[in-house]
Amino acid sequence: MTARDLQFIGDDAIRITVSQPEERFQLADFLRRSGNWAEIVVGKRSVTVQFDPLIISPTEVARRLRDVEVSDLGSASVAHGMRTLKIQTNDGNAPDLAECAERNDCSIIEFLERIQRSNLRVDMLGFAPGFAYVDGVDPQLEGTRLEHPRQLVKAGSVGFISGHLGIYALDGPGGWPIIGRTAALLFDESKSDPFLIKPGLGLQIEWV
Amino acid sequence: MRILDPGPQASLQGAPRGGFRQFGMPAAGAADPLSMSLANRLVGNRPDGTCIEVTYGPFAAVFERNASIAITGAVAPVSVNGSLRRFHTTLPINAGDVVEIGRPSAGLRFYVAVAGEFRAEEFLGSTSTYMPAKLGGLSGRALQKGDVLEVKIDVPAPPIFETPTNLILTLGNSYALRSTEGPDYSEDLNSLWTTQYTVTRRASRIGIELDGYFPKPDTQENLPSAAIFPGALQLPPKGRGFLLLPDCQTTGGYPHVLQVNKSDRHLLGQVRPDDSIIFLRRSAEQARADLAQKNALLKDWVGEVNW
Repeated sequence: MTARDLQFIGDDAIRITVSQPEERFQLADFLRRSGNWAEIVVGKRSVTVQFDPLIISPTEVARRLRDVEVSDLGSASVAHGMRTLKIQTNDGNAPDLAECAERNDCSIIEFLERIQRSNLRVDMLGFAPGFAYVDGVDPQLEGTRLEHPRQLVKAGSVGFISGHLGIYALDGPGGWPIIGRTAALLFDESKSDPFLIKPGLGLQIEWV
Repeated sequence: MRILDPGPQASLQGAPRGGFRQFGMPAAGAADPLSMSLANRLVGNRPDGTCIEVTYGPFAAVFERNASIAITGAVAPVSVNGSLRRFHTTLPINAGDVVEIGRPSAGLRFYVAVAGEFRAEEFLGSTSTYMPAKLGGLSGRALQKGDVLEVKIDVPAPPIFETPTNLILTLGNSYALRSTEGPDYSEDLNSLWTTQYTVTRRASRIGIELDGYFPKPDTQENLPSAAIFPGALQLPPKGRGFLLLPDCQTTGGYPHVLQVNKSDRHLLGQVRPDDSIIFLRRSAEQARADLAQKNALLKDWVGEVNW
């Protein structure tokens, strides 16, 4: 048995650093099914578990996490999930698309096709509520943050910077150039699981 | 209740928003949940019932109906129709009464609770206002002059209570915060435990900036983004330490060197510019005992504090 790489994050959280990024999603899924944790947060190379020390001792949490074997994890449902997102690219929904394409010396159609052909995967959520970082965009395509962030980016907007898409599940301020917007309901508060996009989810894009 | 003067910042806060950090949703909630639970207790509410969290003051409001209120937290002069009243007691209020609260001499935030709780918009299981994304509370924003707040549930007037004196926190201008090593701590940084820091003017519900000598972490400047929580002390590459509060982001890439323990995190809501801070070193197991002790002290009076 290989002991997992655990680090205490103060008195009420423990971080597990993984060697394979893929393992994060399986681990997070497994932990969600296996206990009543306060928070389980996927990072770039880690999964962090926050717990209530009045309910369970830090030593006991560390013991439980150390014992999680890769073979216990099974296939994480989310990690193997795939979702198709229809994304509108008309002017109102994609204010920065033309500029992004031009910067890469390609037509809008070519730019969109290259993103569509990319192997897209939600890496993590963070920065702002419901904001998803998507990995795997064609590395040849370049893009940088807007010089002047917008006060309001509409929910469903899809941004692009080199290597990544960023998807806004909620309205909010944002600095990513926006190349489209999905009408899919990314956040539905009436559901027990209100966010449609989760870490580990594979994405297939359909431009409409 | 109509707000006449919200002060520099007042917002509706209740329980922290839990379980959604995986989607980037910060906790929000009272910066000093202990003081909030004491206010709620005095008017017969649950410990995390929605209150007004007032930063610094002055604050003033007029009541359009009879109500019972209580005020706790940073102690400032409070008056009803111009005559002085006390903190930490149930205050019966008549329609037309004007409640005014001045500026605290120590501490930063006070809590106004009303019997039956303030009505607020619930988002993901919590009424707490998260202002950066305009969620919860009253339209997700800070309270403004002219806002009218309603009582959520009509309840009979509670008896007059007073907070037991042993539970009243005496706030000064220096804080010793029990803390545990963060993930990016190393013994090269042990001066963190012996240095006295001063709070700068950068202090909000997101975090508090500290001035003083900070050793350089030996970790690379760009750490892979990972979960962070309120109570974290981060060391950005240039400059000063930053202590995180309930509105902090869910992930970060700065070295996270210390973590203020759950038992003492409520104090972060009272720290104000120019206050001094030292960090007291504890192990995770000691921290657990500290929290259990504080919880036991409060349990008979307020029940379970939603830390």
